Amino acid sequence: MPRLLSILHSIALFAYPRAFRGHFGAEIVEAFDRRVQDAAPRGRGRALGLGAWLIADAVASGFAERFSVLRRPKPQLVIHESLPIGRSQTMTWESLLADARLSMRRLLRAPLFAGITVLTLGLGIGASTAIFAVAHAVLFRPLPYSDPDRLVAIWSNNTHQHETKNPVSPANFQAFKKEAPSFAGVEAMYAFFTNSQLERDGSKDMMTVATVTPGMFDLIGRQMLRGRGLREGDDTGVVISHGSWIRLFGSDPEIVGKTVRVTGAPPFTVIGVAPEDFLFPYKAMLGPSGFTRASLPDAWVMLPMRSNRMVDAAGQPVRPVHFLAVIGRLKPSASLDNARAELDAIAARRATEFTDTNDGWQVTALPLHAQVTGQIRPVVLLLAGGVATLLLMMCLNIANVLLARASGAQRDIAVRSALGASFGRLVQLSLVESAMLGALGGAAGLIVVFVATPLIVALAPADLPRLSETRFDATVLGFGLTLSVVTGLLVGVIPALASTRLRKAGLADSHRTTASKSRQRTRASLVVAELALAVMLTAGAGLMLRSFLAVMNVDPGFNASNLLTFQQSVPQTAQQSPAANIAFLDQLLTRLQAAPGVQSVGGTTRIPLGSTQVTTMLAVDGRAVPDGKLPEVDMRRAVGDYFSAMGMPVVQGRVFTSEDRTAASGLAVVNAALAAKVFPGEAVVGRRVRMGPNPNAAWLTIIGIVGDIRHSSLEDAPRPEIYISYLQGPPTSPFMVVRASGDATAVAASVRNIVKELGADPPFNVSTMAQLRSESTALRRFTVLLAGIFGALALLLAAAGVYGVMALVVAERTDEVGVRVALGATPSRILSMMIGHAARLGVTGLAIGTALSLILAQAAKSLLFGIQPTDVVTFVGVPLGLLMVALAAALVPARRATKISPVQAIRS
Amino acid sequence: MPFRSSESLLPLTPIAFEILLALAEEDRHGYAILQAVESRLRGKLPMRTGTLYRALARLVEDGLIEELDSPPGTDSRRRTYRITRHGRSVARAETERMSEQVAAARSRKLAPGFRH
Repeated sequence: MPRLLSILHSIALFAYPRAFRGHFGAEIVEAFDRRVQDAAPRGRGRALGLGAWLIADAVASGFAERFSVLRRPKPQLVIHESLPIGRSQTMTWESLLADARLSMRRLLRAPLFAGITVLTLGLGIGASTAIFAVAHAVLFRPLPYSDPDRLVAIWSNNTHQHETKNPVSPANFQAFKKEAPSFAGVEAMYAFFTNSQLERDGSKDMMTVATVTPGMFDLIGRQMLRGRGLREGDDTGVVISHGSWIRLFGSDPEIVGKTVRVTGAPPFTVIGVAPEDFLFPYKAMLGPSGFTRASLPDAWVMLPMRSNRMVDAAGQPVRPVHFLAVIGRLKPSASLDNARAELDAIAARRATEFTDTNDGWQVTALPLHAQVTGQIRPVVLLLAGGVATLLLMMCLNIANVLLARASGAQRDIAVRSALGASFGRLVQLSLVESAMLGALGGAAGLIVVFVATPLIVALAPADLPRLSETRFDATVLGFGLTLSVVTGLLVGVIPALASTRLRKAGLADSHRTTASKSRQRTRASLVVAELALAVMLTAGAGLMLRSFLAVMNVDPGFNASNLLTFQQSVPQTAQQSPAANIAFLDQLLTRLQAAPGVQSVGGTTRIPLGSTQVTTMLAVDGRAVPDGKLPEVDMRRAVGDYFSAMGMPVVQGRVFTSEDRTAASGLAVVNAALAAKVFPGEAVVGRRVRMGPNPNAAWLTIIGIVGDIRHSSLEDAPRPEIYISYLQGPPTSPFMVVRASGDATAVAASVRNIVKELGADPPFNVSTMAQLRSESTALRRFTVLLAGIFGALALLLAAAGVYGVMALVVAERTDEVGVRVALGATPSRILSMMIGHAARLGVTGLAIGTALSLILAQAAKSLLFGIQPTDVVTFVGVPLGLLMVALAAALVPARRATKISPVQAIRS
Repeated sequence: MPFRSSESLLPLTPIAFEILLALAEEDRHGYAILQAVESRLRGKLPMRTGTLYRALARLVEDGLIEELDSPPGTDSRRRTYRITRHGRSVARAETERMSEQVAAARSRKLAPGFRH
């Protein structure tokens, strides 16, 4: 205990000015220790009390001493613009103010230097803070639910298909809900959004709807803005989002209790209105199958536990169909690890109990926050790393300039030092100057933040999770301020140390124009570090660009040009019977086909790159496989000439034709991926398959194989797919595709007219395939854009840094060059000497940077596409390019050196 | 260090006066001063280490006491202080000032022993 007191007391002594501490410190410590020891025999408490009291006194009198320095009469001898001499005081208010005034005067005397420096710092600090604001919103801010850290996303891990985040079956969900004691609650929702058409006063609006189990709102634990969340029994209740309350219901204050009509469903009663920041579920919570164009739902409806989707005809929870996204809330006493163990045990038990459906099905559980931000996390981290590197480069550049200024002020420092300025005092002056630059840079940075933050959010793909929640709040402001201070000190510390080295050199040497060895070394290491950082940034940008180009070159498996897509609802009257539905679609196909500029027309249930996918289990005739091990494949319906309209090649056999009309039921087309997966090395055409683990389903005969397509993104490998004809169960809201002979948007008007003439609701989700394709690469484009900006700035900063240092080197070696010229050195010899100097620095920096980049590229592997982390083009091209830039930057001052005449050297 | 007249330094703080009293007896180092003051006052003026050294610094600065070079072979951390002639005259002036005050208090029957 006395030891602890002693340590605390030593720390408290820092309240005293340094000079006082240096003089009396040891004595005060000794007196303190002895007094505490003396008090010890009178009781531990007493000694402790005394110690605490003395420590408090040390702090109080320490600060009193600091401030009394201000009040005491000033020394009579004052030198203009210099430091107090005699007792050299550091960190007194007086000295800090004096240094601040002096620094301000110095900066105003060099407005160009001050302006460029402040702008550079402002850009660096501002950009870093803006990226931090994004990172804070996306990665660090808790989800907008009650006690969100206890929420867990639960998936089935389908080991047969290597789907670690497979949606959960109703039966497994029920088991997790009832049998895992770590959870205070487990609820579920459809792992996809549905679309519903809201009907009001003759107008119809599409709404994106999330379907949740009765306890979900209580599990999330948010107060509704009006009314309440859905609860058990609210089977025909609906909660609407804040946005749709305003947009569709004109902020009606009496909305709760009113009835709303939805096409093709019984009326719903509005139960509540969600608050504005009730963001649930984020699209990413729906998992891989949740790929949808809407990022948040407009309304929430109930998935009753006894609905026929959840329980089968026998009243048992459905086992073979997996369509739920499950969220659990951990009890306060429970850990995620315990919960995982319980879920694993449940899955293992069910795997043995229900071998047919559950064998090979395990569980994945992860924090809900990780589920939401998992996809964007590496991108944000990449950007944060990039902007931090950029800021560091800016600091190095500015440190370099300050260093040059410090050598310019060599004489000044020598005089101050000779008059008695201490080491600490000189460092303080230098740091005050750079801290002031930091503060001004921070102020400029604020402006950058205000411009850049909304710009980044606007440039980013709209459906990135949480990005729209980026705000400029106290945390972001605090980060910006801290960054300004740290940057200011960081920039100042190297020149500060250099200036004290100058002090050692003394007044006698202050006229020397050549720099000391150590200063040259400092400068050389700054350039080397800067080039190394530049390699990292430009190589990073290069890798992202090469990946982006690789993605853009991916063949999606269909021809995306001149293709118009839209979604079309079949009129309510035509939905009464399959025949009427088919008749409407046929009429639509015929009319569209006849429209001017249209080459071919088709349709499907799931448009590639623009909608969710639906999967089905596939049983093969003659193979006995338990339900749980059936291969899972994507399923689409084909309407009209879908394959030729999409430009998908027929690999083998044939596709559906209008002649199949009578025989259509019982036919299927598969893609090459399905053929390879389900029938490896076997004949495919003519084989019979059945969908779903359903012994009553009809057998389908495969009539042909078509080419693979990329469905959810260009970067995901094609998945096995089966197509059935629309004649065998016509879709009520298909995506139509129209191949135009020219610009696809040109046929949009005729499409609208034809639909209107047919008396159907207007088409929605109208888009060209080129647009869908471009949207699907939005995150990559965003990353490339920012990485490209960082890379370009890095090149610029590297060039500026090399130029600045070489200019100084030439200035410093004027004497030497003069002598060399006098002794007969040719201009080309001088030039190669200078360029050689720059090249040595350059190669060292580039080598270090390349090595570091290769390591970092391995870590960022998940962000790359179509190239190796050791991409030769990038890792040869970038260092070579940077070397060229560095040499070009060195060329200007080097040429100046060739013009030095011996006379000029002697005069200087 | 600019010398200031005895009067301009008055009144002394109680602790400064106590330090001068302790040093008027003999030269002492910091901790010895502390002990001397405490034993004289028997705890009436609690001695705070930090405050003591601030007062010492001020007294040195004003030239009332001086630091002695530590004799060789002693603990070099410990500085020994001696009262200067200026210090003695300031202490005397302070004593006079206080005596006057005490006399005035006596005449107004405020001093001990005159309670009625």
